[in-house]
Amino acid sequence: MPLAFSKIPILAVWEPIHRDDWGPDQARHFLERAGFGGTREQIEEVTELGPEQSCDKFFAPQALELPEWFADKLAEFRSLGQQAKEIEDREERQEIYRERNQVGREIILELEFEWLLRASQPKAGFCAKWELFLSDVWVVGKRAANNPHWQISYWQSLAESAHLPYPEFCKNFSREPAMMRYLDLDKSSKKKPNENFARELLELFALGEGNYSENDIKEAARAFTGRRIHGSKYQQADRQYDDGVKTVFGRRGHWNGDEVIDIVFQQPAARTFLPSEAIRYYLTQEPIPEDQLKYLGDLWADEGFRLDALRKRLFSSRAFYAPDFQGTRIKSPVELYVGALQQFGLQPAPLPNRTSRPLRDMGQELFEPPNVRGWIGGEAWINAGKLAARRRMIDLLFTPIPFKRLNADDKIRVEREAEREGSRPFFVTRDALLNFTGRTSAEVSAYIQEVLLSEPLNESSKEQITRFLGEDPSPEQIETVIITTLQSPQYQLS
Amino acid sequence: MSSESFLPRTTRREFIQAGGKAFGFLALSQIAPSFVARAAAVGSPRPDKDSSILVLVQLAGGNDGLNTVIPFQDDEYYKLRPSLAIPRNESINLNDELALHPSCGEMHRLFSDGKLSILQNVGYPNPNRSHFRSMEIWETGADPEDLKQTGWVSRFFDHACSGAPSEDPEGVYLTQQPPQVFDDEKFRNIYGASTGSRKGRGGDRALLESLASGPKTTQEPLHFLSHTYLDALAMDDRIAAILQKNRNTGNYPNSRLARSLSQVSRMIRGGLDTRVYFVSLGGFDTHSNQEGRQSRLLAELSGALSAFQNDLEKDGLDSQVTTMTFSEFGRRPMENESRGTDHGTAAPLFIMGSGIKSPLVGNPPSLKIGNNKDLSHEIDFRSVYATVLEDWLNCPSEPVLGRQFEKLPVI
Repeated sequence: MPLAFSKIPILAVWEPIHRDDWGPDQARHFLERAGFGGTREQIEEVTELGPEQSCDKFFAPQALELPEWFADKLAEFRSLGQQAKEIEDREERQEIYRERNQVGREIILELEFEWLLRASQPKAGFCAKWELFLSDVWVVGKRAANNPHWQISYWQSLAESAHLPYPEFCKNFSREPAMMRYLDLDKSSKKKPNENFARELLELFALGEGNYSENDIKEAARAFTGRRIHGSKYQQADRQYDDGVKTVFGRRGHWNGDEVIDIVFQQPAARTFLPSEAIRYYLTQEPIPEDQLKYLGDLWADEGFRLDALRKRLFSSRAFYAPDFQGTRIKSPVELYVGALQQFGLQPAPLPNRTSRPLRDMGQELFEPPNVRGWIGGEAWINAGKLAARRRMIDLLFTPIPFKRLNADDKIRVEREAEREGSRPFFVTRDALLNFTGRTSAEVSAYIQEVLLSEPLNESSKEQITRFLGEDPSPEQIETVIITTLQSPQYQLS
Repeated sequence: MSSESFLPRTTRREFIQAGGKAFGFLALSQIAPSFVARAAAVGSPRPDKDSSILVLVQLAGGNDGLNTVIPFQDDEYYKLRPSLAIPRNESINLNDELALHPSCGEMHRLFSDGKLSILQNVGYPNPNRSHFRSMEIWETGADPEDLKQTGWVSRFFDHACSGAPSEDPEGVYLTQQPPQVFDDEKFRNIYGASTGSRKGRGGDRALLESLASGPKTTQEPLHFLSHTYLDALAMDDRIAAILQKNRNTGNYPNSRLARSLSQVSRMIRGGLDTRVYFVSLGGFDTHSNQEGRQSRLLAELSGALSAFQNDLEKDGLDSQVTTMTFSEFGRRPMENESRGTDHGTAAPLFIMGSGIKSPLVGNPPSLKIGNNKDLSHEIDFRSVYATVLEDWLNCPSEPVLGRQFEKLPVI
């Protein structure tokens, strides 16, 4: 049995969990916390592999690939933009721009679907969650950065960069058009440097409040001038760039943006900032003691700030499996939704009212965090309305698609998706469900305890379930019990 | 059941009447639904009973307006619709130039009795033909360019002259998903009632309650989750009790919309302080073989509206309720190759109630348009909202809609 967090000697806290402490409970915890949750087969596999090998296996980089027809839609988007430029009449021009923006929104909606589809694949889910974590640090919003090219670039870059050394990651993302637009970098010039990006780099991406001066922001902002978006890609505009001498963190030089990032990572706070964000996202919303955090930061710095090293250390550590952190984290809407998809071998239905819309109702509009700080998380995910939305979303996973009543566009989506290679079911049928749960009352109860819930149920709840199922449960009763379990307060926790 | 003690089987009113006795319960119970706690703290009386109520009926998919309110004297109509035009002798005349679809007999009766108003040619500038976006525009009440995020009804709640605080839901919807009219950045007390058409699906209420009250722990966040859950379930109970107590005798047809509206009438009769109800009828996206489908849908609409109005009149509740239909867009005037119509723009809208002033507002759309072109709207949908807000809901419309829109002489 792993020790409570406070009982682990500090030098052992980030060491891999001992073989003797490793078992199916820890494997399920790994699947739920590092990923979105797993099936019984995956629990067995992870139990066998142990945490480090599981990290190697499940975090193998996975590109975010888009179907070919995206290219046509993007071409349409560009050509409408071109067309609009050539029109002199103001009204007419705006009409074309409106049409273009509509096409843009549709592409982003399809991108959301593709992102969810990839996240729902057991092979890519771990990476997807890690990218979601990084996007919660390097926040952009789809309404402010509304060009579909930028959004695609941002999410594809996340998939490509999520294992790099973090300073390199920061350099890459300071050139992402979506980020440049979201934090006004594309308007920052030598004459009028805009401090928005420089401030968030220091406050929200790399160091944290209290670890820099207002002057550091002012000077750093000058180093990031002259960045522009051209043809939906980053471009350096030399005439807008301030190549003068800047003093950042007491160091004088003709620093450019990349050099400022290198200086930032020489600050002690850079060692602990991202690890503390990762702990908040994956482990606990309560801050952990300074000493333990500082030790993790030092270990990470020795590993060259590599993102893959950080996550492997965290997800293998004794701290990660301390009992304090089991069943104590409220799943975000995306985690709840994608987790349930994975546990029942589903994929998202290609209908916004079964994907984007329920996520929004539960309080997490995909690609649109509330502000630059990202999602608040924890108890902020829960109120009566959002709980009702969670229950509804679970119901939908067990509800067939009402094909006849769909709009024509939606029918096309459903047909197109069903024909796609490797497509999986959009909802759970009773037959499929029984393959997961088994048919007897004892099997179903064991499935609930061993696969679905992170904490053991108390006796009275167990009794209720057994009584509901009776001696020889019908498939309908089993379905009802499973749906109820997924809707229960217990399943909202990981 | 062990959890019984956690759930008060009282309504808010009964609870307040019980006074001190119930405080004992609060002190003993670790997990008391917070509406009970809040009501106990405020000790609030009910707001005035005569607050006006709005029922929104969404016609999802885009209803074909031209075949709903038919300009039967216009030759262009028959040219545009060689196979879909409704024959003159089948439609039901409203006056000497307009007629209703043959399925709308009951609506015609309401119209003749002065309880149904037809607003012609309602839409908005720079129309968007995406279901998703156009519905969003209607439900947020935004300019087509403006990506407003909150629903227009939600903004009404913000500006409504509120009576005493109530624990009843501000809005109730009877659709699977919450409509965007209630969207808000902050938490709103919006309740999703069962549409009653999905029996046998979903979890088990009693089992859920027992799981939620099972953990007698103070360990967070499970305690917090369980607490919030029991709160929500208590509201379910309350609504269920109201539906149980207020069975209606109304003669509703057997249709989904009728079932929804019958539930709304029971909740109104039960005295909920809710100001806005939302129901929906889907399937209007008639790209092919429109004739049969639209007939069935309009018959469902017509029958349900009329039964609802009759039911309300029986108890004199009709003076409290106005009902309004809307759809994300009308359809293309020119029929397509599949005996259907494609996404269009403006369309007529219906307002039903006992306080109707003018049965017919606006002019029929001009059909002298280019090949496969769309109608241009005459009445902005936000003018309709402004009218409903000011003349029915007693709320200034400008803060809700962002600017002044001309009101219509309807209510």
